[in-house]
Formats: sequence, structure tokens, C-alpha cells
Amino acid sequence: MIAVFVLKRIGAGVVLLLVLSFLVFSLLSLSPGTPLQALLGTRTASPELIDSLNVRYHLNDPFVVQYGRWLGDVVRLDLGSSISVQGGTAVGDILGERLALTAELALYALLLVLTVGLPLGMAAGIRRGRRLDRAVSLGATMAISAPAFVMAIVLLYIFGVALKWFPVYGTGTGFTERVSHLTLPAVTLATVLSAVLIRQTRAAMMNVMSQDYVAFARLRGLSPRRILVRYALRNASLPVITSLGLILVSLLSSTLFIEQVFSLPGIGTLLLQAVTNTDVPVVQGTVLILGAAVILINLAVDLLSLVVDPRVRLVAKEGA
Amino acid sequence: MTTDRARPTFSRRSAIATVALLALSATACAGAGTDGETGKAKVTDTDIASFTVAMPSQMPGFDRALSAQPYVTGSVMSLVTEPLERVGDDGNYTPVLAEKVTQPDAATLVYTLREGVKFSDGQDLTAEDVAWSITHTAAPPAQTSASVRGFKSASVSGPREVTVKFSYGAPAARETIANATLIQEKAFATAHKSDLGTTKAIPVGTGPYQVQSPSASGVVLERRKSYWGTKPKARTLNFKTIPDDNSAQLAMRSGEVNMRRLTNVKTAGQWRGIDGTTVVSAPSGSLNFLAMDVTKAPFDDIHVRQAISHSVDVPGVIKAAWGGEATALRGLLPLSSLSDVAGGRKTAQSYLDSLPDHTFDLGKAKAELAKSAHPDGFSTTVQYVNEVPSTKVLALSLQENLKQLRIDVKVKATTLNAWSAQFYQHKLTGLTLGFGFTADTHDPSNPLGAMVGKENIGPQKANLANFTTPQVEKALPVLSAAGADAARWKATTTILSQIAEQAAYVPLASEDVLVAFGKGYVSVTGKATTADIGNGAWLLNIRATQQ
Repeated sequence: MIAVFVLKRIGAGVVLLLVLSFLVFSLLSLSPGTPLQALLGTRTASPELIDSLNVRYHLNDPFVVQYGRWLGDVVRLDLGSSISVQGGTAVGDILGERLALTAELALYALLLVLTVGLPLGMAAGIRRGRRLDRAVSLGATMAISAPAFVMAIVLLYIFGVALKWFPVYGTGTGFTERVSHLTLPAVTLATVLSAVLIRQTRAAMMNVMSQDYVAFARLRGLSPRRILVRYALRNASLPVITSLGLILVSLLSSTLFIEQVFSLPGIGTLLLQAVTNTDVPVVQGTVLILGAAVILINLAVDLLSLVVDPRVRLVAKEGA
Repeated sequence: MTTDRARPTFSRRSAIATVALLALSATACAGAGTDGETGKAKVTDTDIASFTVAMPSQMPGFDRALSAQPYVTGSVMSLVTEPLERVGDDGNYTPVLAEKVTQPDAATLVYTLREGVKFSDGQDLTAEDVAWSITHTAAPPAQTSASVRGFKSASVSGPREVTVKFSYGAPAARETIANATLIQEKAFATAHKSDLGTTKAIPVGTGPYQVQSPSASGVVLERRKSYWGTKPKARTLNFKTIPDDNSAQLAMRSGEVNMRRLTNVKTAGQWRGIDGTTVVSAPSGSLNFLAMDVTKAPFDDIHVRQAISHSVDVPGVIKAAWGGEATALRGLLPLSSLSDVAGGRKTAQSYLDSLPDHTFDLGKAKAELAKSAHPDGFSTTVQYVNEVPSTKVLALSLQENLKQLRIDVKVKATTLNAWSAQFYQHKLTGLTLGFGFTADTHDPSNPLGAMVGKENIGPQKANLANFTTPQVEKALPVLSAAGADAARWKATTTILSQIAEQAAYVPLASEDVLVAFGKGYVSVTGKATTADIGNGAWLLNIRATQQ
């Protein structure tokens, strides 16, 4: 049953990617400017040059033919070559280099979100209305309201320039250097998103802790640890897992700004460059990969929900 | 013949590159004096172990000819694949791989190559390599072919000799070849036809550096031990991509970056405020102007155009748009484009000073409008480009001033892509803010020769004002072909005078190029010009200082 559910979701995901790629291709086609302009600048070129570039990049072909050619290549696992961002380089190679960095950054930030957001949210939910709850809620409100741009610059100035604890830009080489370079961007990303997780976890815990079965467990004299882990945490995990999925998707989309400020050549800056230069193969490849990542993250969240909550399993079985 | 002539060097990238990257006059410039002293810091001759340059964007490729941004690629790769000659800001040539250049006739250039030069892989530089590199640069599908006008062929004419032929006597042919062509090894290039210029096939050159570890975050160049010429001071050059200006400033504060070409000229003061940082400036050939379509009402009325020309507060706009550090243009071309053909700076300057004055004077503007067919004003639209902040300042300033003439200017935001699309389709008519055009040679034919005349009206053409007169039509062929300086100077002044008298274009300002040097480093020339950056000299000139 689960296999059918997963297959259905993957099938729907493929259709969604197809629609997404067609929409993006259409929008790029409709937007002013062509890859040729991006390639030449607006230097007025000789007719021979324009012809040769049109032939090389098939720019004179009708829209449907261009899209069909791109799709046919994708089916053969060929995302084409960049026109202007990294002229002549295979899009797959560009994405491989950029995606790895963005994934590392997203995972690092997610780790920080989990280690900070989850315990604080639980503690605030359990101690509702007390000093700790008020302090955590205030901190979360401040974190969620702080403009990421300001926070990034402040962190860079304090920890990069004044204290010199972390590098100001770049990616570094090797594991230790990479961790050092990604710390400030990951902290910036995690600050805002931890606040989201804190609020979600707090609300879920508050809801669970007020349930009759928790009061009954207390009356039975069960240890607070057992009540927290077996009853409260398990029952509160569903909304938390759902919000974690959203956070991971947000991490992928939020990296654009963070990558720009911290000079990280990730997928976000690549997409910005590609759109600015109307580099259609790079935009299409990036959108396809990001879309697939979002679909896979959502699928993983759903599967995790099936594991932790038998009620969801039941619904899935009926649905399948 | 006409299609090959005088193409303007405006580009979308130069739109960003010139408006955002070119900067204002340097005040903190501590120019190197003849005594070897730069300000309080003494210039030393010691080697620099590692020097880091913050680049505003990733280099789009390693082959200048195929790069989407040849200027950016050239600024790095000219240290790896050398040019035949370097042209200074003053128009003087410094021999590099070409020992001697002769021009037997207006359409022919003959290069005599330096002896004993080897590529980084140990192979000898041959005339065959040079002829191939010139053809690779100047013929389609190379993007750079757009700037090498009238190129016909490049062939080996002797053991160390290459002859380049043009289809007509193209002005500034030598300068264009010098600026556009980087010499690379033919055997390597032809063996990597499909991926030349990517990280998998970086061109092999004769230059003082070799590319190491290219990646999306930057490029590292290592100095070659076996370089044929004078070794530059930096052993390692790190080009790091830092798109955000604030981050670049912080990197310079932390000492992680030693040089940055400023992307936002208005931040010059902030850069100068960084301890030990020196900001040097040099004039650029960038042109900012107003264009009015002389074929469309109400701009077909000379009095309307004159009224608008007197409504532009150029000094105010320079202050607001470029932080007070740009040079007002008197004619449509900067002095540097005119000096050679005029026979000297003095003659050129004297001519520019004699052009009709379009200073800001709302009294004169009102008087001119009163003489027009639209004395009660009219409505029009001006577009500014989001990616080019100075255009917004210009548009708003114009809107405010023209309000007093009862001219209602609607200011409309657009994107660079949309603006470029209109430019290509020749739909930028009416009142247009022109930016990103660059006079990139020391000859007036470019871009002047492309901005006037019947032959330059239409799609893919740059006559934004649709401007021509019988005098212009007569002078344009003389300007656009090589010939006697006196005749070409007469043609140049005829066209510039016609533009000024008819107020078809209103010249505004030219930004200077600004480069910040971190603590402990200077340029031995005391500046880093647009030419220096494009041909790699900016990094050959760096020296460490003794504080």
C-alpha cells in the first residue's frame, strides 16, 4: 500500500515538474530580451554573427520546437549547455558544483534549527506562561522580525571583521574550512527559521500538554520524562515534522539572499545570474532541480508522518 | 560595407559595468610620485606572496573571444593569454607579443612577433598561433567580432610575421585588435573546439600567470617561473567573487581582500573610510546622455529640444546620481576620443569649449518653449532602468524641472532586459536616457559614427534620436573610414556641432572608474584606468608599500 502511495506521489511529481518546466520556459520566452541580447550585450553585431549565434543556440526555432528539444535532452539526462552564465559548460556540471554548496548550507542551517528550535519550543510549551516561556517567545519574535540583511551584515562585522572568528566570504576547502565558512550564513538562516520552529513546537506542545491523556498519565504517577517522550513528544511531532518540511523548502529558497551577502556560489546566486542573463538552459535546469527537491522533501515529510502517526497510515491506506 | 562600420560599444553588460562599476573622481588617490613614494607609504619592489581581488561577478568563461563578458574575462585572462600590445589610457602602445606593428595601407596591419616566447606548456609561440587567435577573435561566432570592424583575414606572412587585412580602412583597427585579441595556443584550442573556454579547457597562453583551481567562488592564478618577460610582483593572484558591495567592504576591512573595483560609485566615501585603503580613480569613456527623437512630436521641434536641454541640472545630477564624482560632458564624446584626430588635447578641448552651451537655466528653457509649437507644455514619458540607479535620479530630476515648464513627465520603471529589447528593436524613441555607451578607443568614430545618420536608424542600430542632417550625411562616411586626420577632424566637429546646435542629444556626464587598494598596496602608476583593467595592467602594476 505504501509503495502504491509513493509511486502515485512520484508520478504526480513528474507531471508537476513537466508543467513547471513548461511554464518557466514560456515565461522566459514571453519576457523581454533574448539569450542573444544577453550574449552580445547590446553591441550592434554583424548579420553573420547574429546568424551564427542563432544557429548555434537554435534561437530561430519555434517555441514548441525549442521546448521539445530541451525536453528530449532532459529525458536523455542532458540538461544542455549554458549560453551566457558559463558559456559552453554543461548545465549538469554547473548545477553539481552549486547544488552541493547550497545543500551543505541548508543541512547545516537545518541542524542548527533542530538543535536550537526544538528544545526551546518544547520547553516553552511545557512551561506555558512562565518566565522561560516569555523569554523564549520574546526571543523568537525578535528573531522572526529581524531583517536577514541587517543580521547578516551585523554578524559579518562582529564575527568576521571585529573578532575575526569566521571568514567574511567564500567557501573554503576541506571539511573544517567549509564548516567555518558556512557558520555565519547558516546561523543567519537558522535564526529566522528557528523562530518558526519554536513557535510551532510550542503551540503543539501546549496543545498536547493540555490533553486528558497527559493529565491521566500524571495521575497514574508516570515519570515526567516518560510523559514527555512517550506521550507529549510523539503526539506533538506531526505538526513539527510538517513545519520542518516547510523549513527545509524555505532554506532552499532563502539561500538566494544569504548566498549573495556571504559570497557563496550556490544555486540561489546561479538562478539570479541565469534569469538576469536569460540563460534558458541554466534557468530550466535550476528550476527542475529545485522543483524536484521540493517534491522529494514533501514526499519525505509525508512518509515520516506515516511512520510516526498511525492515523495518517490509515488514511493513506484508504486513499491508496 | 556600411554594416561593418562603426558599431557602438554600448552593451547590456557595459550598462551595468559602466554605470555601476565605473566610478567617480578619486580624492583619496595617493598617486605614486616620481620619487617612488605614494602618500606616506613608500613603494617597495618586493614580491607579494598572495594578492586577492574581489570581483563583482563570476567570470563567465576563460576565452575572451567566446565570453559573454569579454571585458571581465579580459581583465583576468590577459595575464594568462597575452595581447599583442597594450594600449594605455593616453593612447600609447606598449609592445607585448608584437615587437613591431606597421600599417602599409589603411586596410592592412603587419605584426612582427617577439622571438623566444614560449607558451606555458613549453611550446614555442608561432605566427600560426597569432593568426589563428586574431581570426578566432575577429570572426563570427566570436562575440568579440562585434567590436572588430571590417575584419577580413589574418594570415602568416613570414616566420615571425602576421598580416591582418580589413575590408575597408577601418579607423582604430590597430587599437581594436590590441584590445580584443588575446593570443592562445592554436593546437590546444583546436583540440578542444567544443569546450574551449570552460574550466575543462582553459586556453594556453604565454602570460606571466597560469590558471590554477578555477571554481564558481573564484580563480587562482600562479606566477610562471619560465615567463619570458618581467615578472609581476604577486606570486599568487586570487580572484574572489563577492557580488555584494557591503560584503566586499567588510572583506577589505578584515584584510581578506586587497583590491576591489567599486560597483557602486556612491559608496566611494565608505571605501575611503576603511583604514589604510586608497581609492584611485581615472576617467572612463562612458557616456550618459539624453536622446530626443527628432522625427516625433513634440521633439521634432528644435525649441522643445532646446528647452529640455536647458532643464537638465547636470551638476546637481552628478552629485545625486554619482555621489558628486563624475565629469560633465561638454560634447557627446569625451576629450580622450578627440585628442588624436584633433592633433592634440588643446585643440580638442578648445573645440569642446566652443560648442553651444546647454547649462541649466530654467529662464532660457521657458523662453525656448515659448517659441515652440507647444508653449503650454505637453506630456511625455521617461523610462529609467531599475538595475541602473543613476537613471532613476536623472529621470526624477528631469520630471521635477520640466514641471516648471508645464511639461508633464511620467517616470516609468523598466528592467534592463526590457530596455535592451526596446533598444534592439529601435523602439526607444521619444525622450530617452542613454547610458552604458562607451567610447572605448581613442578614435571618434565609435560610438559617434553609429549614433547619427540615416544608415544607423532602425533595429540593431544606435541612432536613438533618429538624427541626421545633410551636413551629417556628408561628414559620416569621412568619420567612419580611416583617412587624413584633418579631414576626419573636420567631419567629427561637423557632426558634434550639428548635434549640439540641434540638441538631438544632450550630453550629461561620464563616470570615472574607481578602484580601492587595501592597506599595504598601491598601483605603481597611481591609477587603474579602464584600459588597465581590461588588458591586465592593473595587476601588473601593483606594488607592496612600506608603512
